[in-house]
Amino acid sequence: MSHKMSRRVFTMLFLLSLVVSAIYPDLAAAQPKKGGTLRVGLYHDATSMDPGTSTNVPGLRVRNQIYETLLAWDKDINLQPMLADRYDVSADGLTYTFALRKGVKFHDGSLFTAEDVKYTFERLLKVSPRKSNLAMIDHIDVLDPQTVRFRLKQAGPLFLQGVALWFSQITPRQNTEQQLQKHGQILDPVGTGPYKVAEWKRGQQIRLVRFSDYVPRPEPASGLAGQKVAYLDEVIYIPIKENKIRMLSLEQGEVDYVQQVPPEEAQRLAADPNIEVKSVPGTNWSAIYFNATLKPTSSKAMRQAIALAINYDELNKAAFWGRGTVNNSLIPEPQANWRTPEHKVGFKPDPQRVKRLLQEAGYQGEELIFQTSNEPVYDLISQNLQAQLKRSGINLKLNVLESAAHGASLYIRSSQNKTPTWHMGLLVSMAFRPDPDMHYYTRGHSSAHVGFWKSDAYDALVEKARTVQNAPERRRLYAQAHQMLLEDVPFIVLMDEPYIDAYRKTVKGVQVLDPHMDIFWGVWLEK
Amino acid sequence: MNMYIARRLAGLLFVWVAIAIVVFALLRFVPGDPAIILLGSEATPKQLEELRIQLGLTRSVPAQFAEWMTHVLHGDLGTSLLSKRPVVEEILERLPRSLELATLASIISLVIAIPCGVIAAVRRGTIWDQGFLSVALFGICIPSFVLALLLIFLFSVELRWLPLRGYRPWTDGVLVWLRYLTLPALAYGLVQAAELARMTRSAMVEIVELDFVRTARSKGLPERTVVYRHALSNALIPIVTLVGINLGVLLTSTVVIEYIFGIPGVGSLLVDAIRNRDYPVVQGVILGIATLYTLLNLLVDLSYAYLDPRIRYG
Repeated sequence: MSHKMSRRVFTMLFLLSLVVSAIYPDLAAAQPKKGGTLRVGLYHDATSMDPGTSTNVPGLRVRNQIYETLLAWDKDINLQPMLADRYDVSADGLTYTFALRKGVKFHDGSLFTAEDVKYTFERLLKVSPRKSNLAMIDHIDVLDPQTVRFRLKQAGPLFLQGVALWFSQITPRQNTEQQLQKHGQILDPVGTGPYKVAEWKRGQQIRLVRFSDYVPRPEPASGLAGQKVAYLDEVIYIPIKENKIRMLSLEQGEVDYVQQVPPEEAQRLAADPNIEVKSVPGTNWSAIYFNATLKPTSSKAMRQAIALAINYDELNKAAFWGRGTVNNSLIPEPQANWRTPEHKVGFKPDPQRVKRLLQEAGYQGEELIFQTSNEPVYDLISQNLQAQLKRSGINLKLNVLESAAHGASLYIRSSQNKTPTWHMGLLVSMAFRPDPDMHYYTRGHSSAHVGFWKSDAYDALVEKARTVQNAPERRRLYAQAHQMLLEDVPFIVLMDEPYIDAYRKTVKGVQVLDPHMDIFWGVWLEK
Repeated sequence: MNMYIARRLAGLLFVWVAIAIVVFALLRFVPGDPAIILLGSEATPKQLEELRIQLGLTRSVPAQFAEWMTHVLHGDLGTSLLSKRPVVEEILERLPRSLELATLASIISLVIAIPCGVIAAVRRGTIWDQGFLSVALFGICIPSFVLALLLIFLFSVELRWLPLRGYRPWTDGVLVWLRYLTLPALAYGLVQAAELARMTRSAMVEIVELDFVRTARSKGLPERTVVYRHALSNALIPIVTLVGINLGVLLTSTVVIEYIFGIPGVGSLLVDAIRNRDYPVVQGVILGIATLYTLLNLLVDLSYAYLDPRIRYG
């Protein structure tokens, strides 16, 4: 190609690029770029960030950038490899062998090996408040620096979910031991994630910086899995507990991203041309428990009447400004891999049937004690339910307590082995659980239902479902369990709560996945 | 004097033990279970029991109290159930921020209240007096959190002069420190100033009528000297008492302001600890605040002897 010719081609290409960028400005802007600081308004203090001992949820959101697990969930809530490259299961389902990624480093510079995996899980089994989720582990063997083998006491589908859960984030053996010996606690979180902690001023801010030795996985980014590219130089988490002030901080540009936008604020923020509001169907749900030991809620007809007297759309509008998703099943809509057509069937308001059922239950208008809390969402739900049920002649007496006292009253069975004194108890923001067993068994089994409801058929079904390995078969069993719950109504799942984040429009590449999981890899700033 | 201080300190010990017993007992009888808060709603009875044993909550309340007291007497307030950090460390880290806020608010209230109270008293019945009284009444009526929101709206949202929230230590620069602390200190200080101004006015109104003030005037002393040197110095005892009480109140009631302005002080630590039933932190913070409060009262009492030489302690 002659010199003159190449100049002509260059000029043509240049003009073409100008035309393209003029017609499609977003295309030019959509290129991720490195640099900048993302300031995040955290809705509460992160009090602890030790995966071994902490159950602090705000801390978990920060930890998600710092630590990694052997397996991770993609955006469709399927398990994908993360620190493990692959795993093999023995024929009897009792032995899992994980081949680990090579060349992965911790933030302190040490190499990630099988010893760290063994150490992490053995520590969890000793000190973790959630150790029962891993109780099936019998022992762990290091086969070589990149291979680790778990031997289980009993086979079942829950082990892999436990390996991917947030408390199973891998910590370096040597560093963790040193910190525990020196301080008795983890003050300096060290993981393998794309961001590392540069500064932690308790109650003020947590400053994360890009981990330069991080090597992303080759698979495309999806949810918590796949490629994690840290474009941002820094992510600064700033606790702003007061909702109004957190929203104002975003509007004023004092922070770039806020979590947990109250539904009533979302409308106002969305009108701001500089702010993007992302509302996604959440994986949290709200429910009403019934006490099966007290009349009249011990009667199935009474429970059915209450379930059919509620207009769930109206409740959604009153409590969540219509941003929730009406769903009467324990499996939220985003968890599509576990939902069957049966799960879409719920309660339809039916005033005529409610009348007949109330007669059948012998209900004479006596007051039902409804245990609830003074937190704003509880308040909205409780008051709307009280008003709705009143229209059907069902009288609720609200017993409003501060949230810790409400929790103690609601779970009095598990905490003190006593029967509750309430007829109905409200549960909100029941968080995402990856496996249906974590709700169907732990909420409905007769050994766990907080209102002492008991059904031998239901118990047998959920006990079987937790031992079956075959996923389609488990789906079928949980569809049956859902039908049983709709018929017997030991509790009413009211709806899936919305999950709303908001951010300045200069923040790009945002994935809003789940309440407990900030994803700030793949995010960049356009400034 | 020394005997008096010793007696007061012995009294302080009694108050301190009484508070420790009341707080410890109250917390154990208030509904709420730290194990449920830590483990979440799906915890099994077995898990809850294991955690309670680990946290030492299964023993009798007197046994728990005895163990806690033994540790406290050795300077150990225990470990936070939530953060796993020593309570002393948590308090010492946050106390300076609450003290800074309380001190700045007190200075603001003094700077505004004393001159206003004095002017209102000296010019009793004039438009100045009426004006100050009305403003002071408004200040007493308005809760500090409402004033805080109004100040935020005016200075942070509309005028954008001061930051909405947050805290920066004075080591980042005194001006930066002041920028962040001005609004919370004003929200407190203005409300306190209203009460203090009214107290100053009442104390001064009584004093300016007395013979020694008339004598001072008749000697031909300048009005400023009469008011500030003779009258005000004799009206100081009730004012100092109120300032002392206010400082104590500020320390104990910074909760709302710290929450609104995101100041990581002792107040916000206490609120979070109560919500999470973090017993060691609640006990430690309340014991610390009670100690500060009683010491402050002692200092106020001792200052009377300095302000009025006729007062003797023995």
